[in-house]
Amino acid sequence: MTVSQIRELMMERVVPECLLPQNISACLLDEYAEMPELDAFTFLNRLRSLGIGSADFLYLLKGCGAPADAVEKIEQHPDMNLQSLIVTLDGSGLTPKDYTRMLYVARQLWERTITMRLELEEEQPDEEQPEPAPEPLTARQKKPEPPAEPEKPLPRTAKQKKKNEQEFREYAGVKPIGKHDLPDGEERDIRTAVQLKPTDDEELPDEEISEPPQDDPRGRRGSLIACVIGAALVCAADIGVGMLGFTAPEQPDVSLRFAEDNAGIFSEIYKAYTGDRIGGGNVQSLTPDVQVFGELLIDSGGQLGCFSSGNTVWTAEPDCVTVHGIIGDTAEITAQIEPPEGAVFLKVFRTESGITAVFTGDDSCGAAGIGENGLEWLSEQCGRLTDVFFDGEKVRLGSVYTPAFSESFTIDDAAAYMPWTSVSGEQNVFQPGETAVTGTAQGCGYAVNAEYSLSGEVTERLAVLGDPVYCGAEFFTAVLRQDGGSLLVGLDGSSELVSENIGEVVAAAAGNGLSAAAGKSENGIPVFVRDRELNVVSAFTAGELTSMRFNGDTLLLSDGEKITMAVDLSDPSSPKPLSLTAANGAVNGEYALCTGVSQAGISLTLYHLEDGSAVQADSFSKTLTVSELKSLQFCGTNTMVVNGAECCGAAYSWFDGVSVVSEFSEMGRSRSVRTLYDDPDGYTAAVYSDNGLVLLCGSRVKE
Amino acid sequence: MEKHEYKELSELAANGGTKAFARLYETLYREMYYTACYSLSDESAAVEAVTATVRDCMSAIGKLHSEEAFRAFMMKTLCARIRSKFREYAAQERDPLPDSGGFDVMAEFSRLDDTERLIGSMYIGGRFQPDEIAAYTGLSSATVKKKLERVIAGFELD
Repeated sequence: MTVSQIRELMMERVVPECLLPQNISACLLDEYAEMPELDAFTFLNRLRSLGIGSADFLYLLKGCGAPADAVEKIEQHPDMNLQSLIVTLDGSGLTPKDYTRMLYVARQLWERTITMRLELEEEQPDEEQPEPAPEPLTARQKKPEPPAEPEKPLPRTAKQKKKNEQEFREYAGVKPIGKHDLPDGEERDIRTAVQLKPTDDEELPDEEISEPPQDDPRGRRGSLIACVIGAALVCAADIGVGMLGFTAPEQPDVSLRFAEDNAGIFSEIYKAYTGDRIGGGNVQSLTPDVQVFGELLIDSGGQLGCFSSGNTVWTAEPDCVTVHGIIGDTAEITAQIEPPEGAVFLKVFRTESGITAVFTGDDSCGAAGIGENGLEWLSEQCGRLTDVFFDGEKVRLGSVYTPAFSESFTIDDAAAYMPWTSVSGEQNVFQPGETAVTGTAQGCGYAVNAEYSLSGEVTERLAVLGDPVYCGAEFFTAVLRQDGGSLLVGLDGSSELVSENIGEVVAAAAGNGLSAAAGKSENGIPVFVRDRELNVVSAFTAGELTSMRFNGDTLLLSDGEKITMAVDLSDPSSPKPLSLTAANGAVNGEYALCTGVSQAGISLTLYHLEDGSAVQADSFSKTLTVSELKSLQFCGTNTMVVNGAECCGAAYSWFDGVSVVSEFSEMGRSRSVRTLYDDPDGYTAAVYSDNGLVLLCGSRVKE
Repeated sequence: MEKHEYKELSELAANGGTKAFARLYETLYREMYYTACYSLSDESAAVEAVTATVRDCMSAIGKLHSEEAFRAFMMKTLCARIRSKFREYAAQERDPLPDSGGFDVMAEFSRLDDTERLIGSMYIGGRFQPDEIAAYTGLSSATVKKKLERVIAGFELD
């Protein structure tokens, strides 16, 4: 049967009368005629169910515009019973619509008033202390989380058997050299160092005890905002390759090659471990996630973005990505995706079929593909994330991994000592041919670089064994600590392994086909820029720094949470320090929207990138009183729309003394200010879709 | 429909003009009904989906500045509503429609999976092109074409 024949059969079905155009008006009118029936009895019962007392009830009636005579009558008869109250309200001329409106406003106002009181009470004792950044005062404010306890790395769960333990010891030449007398009367062999990792009840080696607690990316972001605001201008730098005095110490040559078999890797791990060189104790932390936009350094804050496709809207925050399905004026949450346990989402990218979210934890990191129905795939790699790269077609991640060695293992237990990737929970350890060894590994850790397609498959992966501090993402580049200095490892343009002995590295970065390594010297911190073949292209001197990252053509240097320097490497042979102004906002292509607060009020400024400069394209300002400014809160990146000159805007809220006011200011082709009073959610997401501006307030879509 | 005509009708509709809205709706109602009916394999559910879509569109008509935007909004909203129904049906574990003996199009459609049924209904019943289907459903063009091939092949085999 052909398509045309099927179509003819389909058309035999008659369109129901009610759907015919001439009858559709009835359906529309019916809809508009439908008003919720709310009488005085139901209204009072609902108020009572909210626990509203008589004083609050009167206050709310007045505030909600109930007729004065009715209010007066109720005021004069405080002992009025429910029946009399109903009769009074019924005779007041209030309609069901009035009751609905009053109930809604009353409920929100009451909730907010209570919330405000509680928050003000909490804030009172701290008044004499230095005032922190203004606290948000909306119901959406999340409860402060208890301070995270320093987490111990979890032991690996590899299953090793008793006989394998013996096998490993024999292979590694480990022999019992004595006995421990344990309190329970049992004896335990005292072995040489290759027993790999002490059990929980044994004393940890000094190196592990002194290891700083793992960074919490959420905490980093919080402090980043404060630091970046303080660092309005990024300092300049001296340029000069010849004056740096950064010379690599004499080091033994390394023989960098891909391992031929697991035995080659196993024996290097054994040598490193017996030499008490575990590694992984000094992993470069991630540079604050800020973006260079002309002369601006834009911090998008804690939220990760809001995206849309058709009737689907994705909102991303570090702890959750939410998928909303838009149906008319309702936003139904179709899925909520949390990162794996102990991890947080760090970056989110828009893809053809949805979004790809990159996450990291202490032991693993990875990416998740999220479509309109929720999680589509989740792929992971071992280790802590040190770099991310996304080019629209693939995601590449660099991480540093040190196996926990919680139990002894044999050469056959590759999962215990080899790096791994996993797709949909199925773990796959690296092959020897994917793992580079130096012959003189200074640790048992790996720099791991893996590439993922936008459907989650691992399309490429490489690792190098040693004591890594950093692994790049865009292409395979790693820095390993090696004999008092460092070893820079990479794949050159012909995909051949290359390495270079360099001095002790403080921080490293890879991107744009370049690598940068900052070392230590008596004359400051020299930063060397190298090409893919590891030839030095240029160098400059920087101040104190702990991490680096490429942002397009710009190399960002940071000291902890503070960006201390930005260097333009559009011409790699001629680095130019940039002078940037810190700002809060969101960037989308050639446009950026920045928020600002002054004593007079707030401002939104749209910038357009023209010849590398941020040129003001539009602006909006609003005057607020000093007391209103105290409670002012911009609702974050997820409620900022940056869609060129067509449409942009941002949401913010404040307490005006009576109500919490939520506003979204729209600029662009049309300008408007949409205001909500005492809305339970306020604006929670804003996005520009095919159908225009979509504003979400929790599960509602606002016009 | 001419641009100025659409503008006039949409402005009237935005101000509550239900007859003006009906004129706009007239251009698309058959496509909407056949898409919903054969996707959902249920006439009353189809009426419900189309009616709800019409109400959604009536409240948004002021923002739809062209006929294309109007069509896209209607079809995207309808697809979202159909998908929402699919989810309800999935929870109910509905069986395919029983075989009536002859060639029953709706019964044939009910044997397809949800996405195939939606795409097949839009293509055959709604006469939408694959690119339009991709845009309205949010699926990639490749997926739409692939699914469509399967649907057509399935019918031809029968």
